[in-house]
Formats: sequence, structure tokens, C-alpha cells
Amino acid sequence: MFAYAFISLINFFIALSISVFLLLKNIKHDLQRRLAYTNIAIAVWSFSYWQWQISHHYSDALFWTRILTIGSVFIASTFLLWTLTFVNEIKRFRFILVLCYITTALFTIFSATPLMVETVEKTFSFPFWPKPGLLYNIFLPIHFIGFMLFGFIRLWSNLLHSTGTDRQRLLIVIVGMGVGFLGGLTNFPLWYNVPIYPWGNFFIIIYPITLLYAIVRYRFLDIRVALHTVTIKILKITILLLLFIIFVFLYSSIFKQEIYFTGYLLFALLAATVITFTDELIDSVLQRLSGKIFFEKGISTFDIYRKTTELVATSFSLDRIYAVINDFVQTVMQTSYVTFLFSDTKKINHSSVTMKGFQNFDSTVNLDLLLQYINQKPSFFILEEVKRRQFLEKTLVKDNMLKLIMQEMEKMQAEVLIPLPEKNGSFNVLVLGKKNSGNAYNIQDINMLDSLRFQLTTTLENILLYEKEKQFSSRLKGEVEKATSKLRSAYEQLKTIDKMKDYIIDISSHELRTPATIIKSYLWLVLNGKKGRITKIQSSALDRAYQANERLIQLISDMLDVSKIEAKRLELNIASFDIFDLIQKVAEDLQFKVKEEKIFLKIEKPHNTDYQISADREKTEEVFTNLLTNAIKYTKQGGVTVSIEEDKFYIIVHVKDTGVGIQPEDLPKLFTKFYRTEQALVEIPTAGGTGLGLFITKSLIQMMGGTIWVESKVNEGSVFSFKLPKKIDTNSKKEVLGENA
Amino acid sequence: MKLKNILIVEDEPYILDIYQELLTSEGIAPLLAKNGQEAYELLARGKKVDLILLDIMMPRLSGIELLRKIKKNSKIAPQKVILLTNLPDREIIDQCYELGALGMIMKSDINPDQLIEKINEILEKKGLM
Repeated sequence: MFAYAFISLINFFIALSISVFLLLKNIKHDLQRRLAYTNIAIAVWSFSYWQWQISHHYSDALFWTRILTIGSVFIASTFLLWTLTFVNEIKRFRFILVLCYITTALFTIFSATPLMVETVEKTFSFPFWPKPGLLYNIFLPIHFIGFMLFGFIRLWSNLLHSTGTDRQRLLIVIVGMGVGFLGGLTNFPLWYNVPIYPWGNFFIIIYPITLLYAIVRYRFLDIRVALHTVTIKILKITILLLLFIIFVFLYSSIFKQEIYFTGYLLFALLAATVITFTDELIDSVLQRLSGKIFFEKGISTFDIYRKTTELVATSFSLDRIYAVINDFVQTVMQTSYVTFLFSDTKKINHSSVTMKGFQNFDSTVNLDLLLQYINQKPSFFILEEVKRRQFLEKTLVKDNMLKLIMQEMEKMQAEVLIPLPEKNGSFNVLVLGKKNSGNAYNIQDINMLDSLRFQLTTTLENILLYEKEKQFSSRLKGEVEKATSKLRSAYEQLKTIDKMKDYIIDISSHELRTPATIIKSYLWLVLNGKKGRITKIQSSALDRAYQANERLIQLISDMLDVSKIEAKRLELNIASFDIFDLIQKVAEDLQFKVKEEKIFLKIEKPHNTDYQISADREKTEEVFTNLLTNAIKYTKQGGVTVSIEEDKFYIIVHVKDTGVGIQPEDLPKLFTKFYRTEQALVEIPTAGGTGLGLFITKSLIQMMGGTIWVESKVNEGSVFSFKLPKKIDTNSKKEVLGENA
Repeated sequence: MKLKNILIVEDEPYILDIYQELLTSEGIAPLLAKNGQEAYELLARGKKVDLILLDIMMPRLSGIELLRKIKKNSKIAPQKVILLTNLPDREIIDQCYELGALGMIMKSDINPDQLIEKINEILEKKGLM
């Protein structure tokens, strides 16, 4: 029975190694710690089994079978605890768990008494085999089979309701654990003298091997591809073991003796031959078989990866690409979180780093430092890998920068940093959190992420460029709005200043007029004998002063007009009136001047009686007065003739004089500001004038929708003509409308 | 209508002097006020006048302010007011018209003897004579 002892010893070592490994690796992780408990129980059980099998004395065998029973008690209870943890049902089945703890305590205590293992006696070819006590009959169906079966039922029930990777994880647990459990059950028939040998012990090894392989090579159950490979290995080992059992059975039956050295040698030869010639065939068959079991119902990692690459390539927003990457990492690797770090420039500083997708963020994390480090060494940074390297290369331990980076990563619970450098020098990093399972990222994860990285970098570059453009355009909009509001306020200010300017002009004009009025009035009073008699010489002198003052008043008035015209603030009061009435009135007013100059003033009788125009009466009077005054002023012989005519739309007034006339070169400049003809200055220096009259006249006429022009011959005289729009009467309006219609 | 009581409201003493002299020579003894406040007090005391010749730019109470106060005070009957000013601010003048001023005479534009003529012209235009 050497084989049973041997397989127990192997089981022991494997279970012990697994439990030590699990405890050292992550003692805080509930699932792993509880799995370690199960393995410790298996180790105890296997060790006792081994000791019992090699016992030569009754008392030794009895002792070890009792320790073995304690192991069985704990295998069942720790398995239940782990299972419920795995499917997250601790709370739901707390009652059963407590019951299990009680029975565990009870059966452990009674294991020291014959109530559990009554005795050991020869059973078939085993020299010592335990016989059940009274309590054992309760322990076996209720505690061992009962609780373990309950655990499997929970796993199975969860399997039915799960999808995707969860389903695959549960499946491998059920297969691995189930094989071990069924294997373990083959130990019990002999207790009741049923002739079934404990050949299942060979299968118990499958369970720890499953775990061992998964943990060491593939970081435990988080990758479907790993699952596939593991399954194949398990099946291969199972085939070998079956071969071995068949071999032992045949060998025993043919040679009627136990298998010794020759037998093992023969088996080894047989096994080697079988493996050499059938490995590939078995592999492909098994791959197809396991592939059907594991992959058909779920989506393969490769499919997810391919889909993700496609989605990344077609993403157009940061939110979208984040969602895609998040989905991928969550589905395939079960990462606690994923986040992007962005930096605008190569010179990374605090303000330039932005984040996407990081919640519950520890604000003390120095993101710039992480970015800077990865910028300098743009390769994957895997915390676990760095720790391992530190263990091997002591110089790395002294690397302070590395220490800082590791500290920051621990702070933000990050496990992997993936550089995503842009062509334009910007630098982005994809940060992955720790895996929910508490395990490290494996080479397949990293390979997948690495392949994904290129597509990700390109798309991200485009998206960020687009976002920047968007930001720029919104900033531009803001700037334009700001500038507009500045302009608006400047405009308001200018308007206020303009108003102030108007006010100042009005006030100055008022202030200038007041003394001019006083001068004018007193001069008039004196000139008109109201202050006593004056001589002719005095009168002539005072008259000059009076005329000069008049010129001053005119200048004030003109300058005010000009300033208003130029500011386009001259208000017109357009109304209809008869211009011929106006002409007659002004002519009457100026009659005294005509008499003074000893010339004639003739108003030609019009053909019609009605010359209604549409204009500002006051301004029209100003215009005509100015023209008539000028004509009288510059005419020394002959006289002034005013005539009136009309066309379809205008009334035209001509003021013709027989005065000095205007030089042809002066004509174009006549209506400009402050322009005075030399002739006027030379020939009639006392005529006065401000040089603004014709400018104002022209401006007013234009504002009222008319035009002014002049024809002149030196020494023959001038004709100033202007036309203003006729009053639009309802009849002619209708006519116009009628024509248009 | 013969104007008997004319109130001249004018802050400039020389101008006041000129118009007083002129109106006196026409047989009208005008009432004089050196600013809007004086005029207001006069009217508030119940003084009856046929016409007010009102300057606009004055200390203490300007012409436009006087018009406002007269309008507000229900005890003062509506007055015939002609603006006699050198202020060319059309906006203010329009406001004065809204407050009841009948017309406006630009002081610098007239010789003293034209004053009565201008007054009559305005009153005639308004149909008040």
C-alpha cells in the first residue's frame, strides 16, 4: 500500500505549499486566506494519512486515523466557509455556517474518543483501517458530505445565474473541487467493509494541482485562456493517472503480486511512450473538448479584445473611450478602477495634469511625479513586477525616485501605469487599479494592454486634439464676448463724453453770447440815441464795434451749428410750408440792408401761388437768409434777383446777384469749412463773414434732402441755386404708387 | 391784449438793466427777479403777472426748474412764459416747451427794440393776442 502513502505525502506537500503561499501573498484577502485554511486542513489530513499508512503498530495507526478525522472535520467546514465567501453568501447562510462551526467543535473534541474512530483493524489488503464509532455515523453524512455538498450546491446555483467570466471561474472551482471531493469520498467504503479501494486519493491531487497551477502560472482564475490551459493539463494528468491505475490493476492480476520496482519501471516506460506518441493528438482532442465546455457559452477574451480595439478606433469622445477601456479592463481583468492622466505639455507641472475617471481620489497623490517618471521611462510600470525586481536587484531598493513612485501608487491603489505618449509631445498615462481578486496582472493581461495601447494612443491623440480645439473655440468665444463688452462699455463712455462735449459747447456758447448780447444791446442803445446824443464820428465808430460784435455772435452760432452737424446731432423738424412765403419774409427783413447798399432786390413773381416744400422751416430760413445776405453784401452795383421754379420733385430757388463774382479756382472750395475767397477778403474786407456760412448752408440743404450749386463769372455776378423736396401730397403719392403698381 | 405786468427773470444785471430800461420807455413797468427762486417766491405770494420773460441758466433755481415748480404748485395759476435765453440746447428748450413755455427768443439775435416785436410775434402765433 506504498502508493497510497506516497500520494498522501505528495498531497501534503502541495497543500502545505499552497497554504503557505496564499498566506504570505495576501493574508488580508478573505478569499485567499480562507482558501489557505482549507489547504491547511487538507495538509493535516494528508500528513495523517501518510503517517497512518506507514504505521506498523496498532496504537500509531489509531492515533493518526484520529488526527486524520480531525482533518476531515476541518476540510468540510473550511470548504464551506470558502465557498460561501467565494459566492458572497456568508450573510445569507450565517445560520448554516454557525451550525457547521458547532459540529466542527463537537466532532473535533470527540475525535479523541472511540465515538468517532472506534478502532483500527485489518481490512482487505490494508493492515490497519479505521472503523466508525457511533458519532462517525452522524459525522459522515451530515458534516462531511452534508456541508461539502451544500457548498457545491451553492457554487452550482451561482453558476446557473452567472454569466461571462464569473461563470467560467465558478466552473473551474466546481470541477477542481468536485474531482477532489469525489476522490476523497473513496476513502469511506472501507470503513464499512465495502470492498472499494481509496483509488480516489490519486484524484485528490488534481484539486491542489489545479489551484497551484492557476496561482503560480496564471494568478488564479481570472483569465479564461488560463482556464482552458489548466483544464487541459488536468485532463492530461487524469489520463496518466487512469493509465497508472489500470496498469497497477492489470499488473496485480497478471503477476499476482504487488507492484514493485520493476512494475514502476515498466509503467514509466509505458507512460513515456504514450506521452511521446500521443501528446499532440491528446492535446488537440482535449483542447477541442475543453474549448466546447468553457468557451462556447461565454464570449472569448479574444473576442472582447477585438471588439474593444474596434470600439477604441471609432471612439470620438473622451467619455466614450473611457467607457470602452473601463468595460474592457473590468470584464477581462476585474480591475478595481481605471483612469486616464493627461498632460498638455512635455514639461509637466501640477496645473497641466488633468484626470478622467478617478473617483475617491486621494488629493495628496503627486500626479505630476507619476507623469514625469513615466515620461522619462515610457514603458509599462507594474508595481508587483517592480517589487519582484527590487527583491532580486538590491540597487533598486536604494532608488529613491522609484520608492516615491511606489508610495504614490500605493496611495492611489494603483497597480499598473501604461504610457500613452502623443506625437506632439503631450503625455498621457493609463492607470489601472489593483485587481479585485488581490492578484497581480499576468503576462497575458500586459500583452493585451500593450497591443491595445497603440490604437488607444492614436485615438486619444485625436480626441484630445479635438477637445483642445473645442476648448480653444469656446475660449475664443469668451474672449470675443469680453472684447465686445469692453467695446460696449467704451462706446457707452464715449457716448457720455460726447454728451458732455455737447453740453460744454452749449454752455460755452451761452457764456459767449451773454457778454456779446450786453455789448450789442448797449451799443444799440447808444447808437439809437437812448443814452444821449452822439456825434456822427462817434456813431460811425460805435457802428463798427456793433458790426464786429454781430460777426462774433454769428461766429458763435455758426460754430455751434458746425459742431452739431459734424456730430450728426443736428435735429431737424421737418414740416410742410410755403417757401415763397419764407422768401418774402426774409426779403422784407433784409430790406434795410438793401437800402443801405443802395442796390435793388427783386423777387420774381412765380407762376403758381403754392410752393409747398417738406423741410425744417427754421433751417430753410437760415439757409436763404445766408444766401441773400451774401448776395447783398457782395453786390455794390445793380442788385439781387430771387426767382423760383419747380420740377417734378423739387422746388428750386435761384439767388442771382450782379456782384463781384467768384474766381473759377475758388468755386470747388466754396462750400468747405472756413474757406473764404481772396477776392472777398481783398475787395470787401469789412464784409465780415465767418467762412462757415456756406458750409452750414450746404450741410443743412443736404440734410433736408436737397442740393446747392453755384454759377459765377468774375465781375458779372453769381447765381446760387438750391432745391428742396416738394411736399408729398396725397394725390401725387397715389400717382406714384399707381405708377409703381 | 395789452401787457401790463411783465416779470423778467434774469441773473445777468446788465441785461436786466437793458430790458428794464427798454420796457419802461414803452410804458411797461416790469417786475424783476434775479433768479428762479426769487420769481417763484413772488408767484407763490400770489403776485399776478401777464407774462414771464424767463432766462434758463440761472443760479439757485434755473428756468426749467422754476417751470417745474410752478406746474407742481397748484396754488400758482398757469403762467404765460417766453424763454429769453442764450442757451442753444434744443433738448432743454424742448423740455421747457413741454412744461408750458410759449416760445423762445435768443437774446444775442435781437436788438433791444425788437424784444416787444418778438414777444408779440410769439403771442400772435399762439393765438394769445
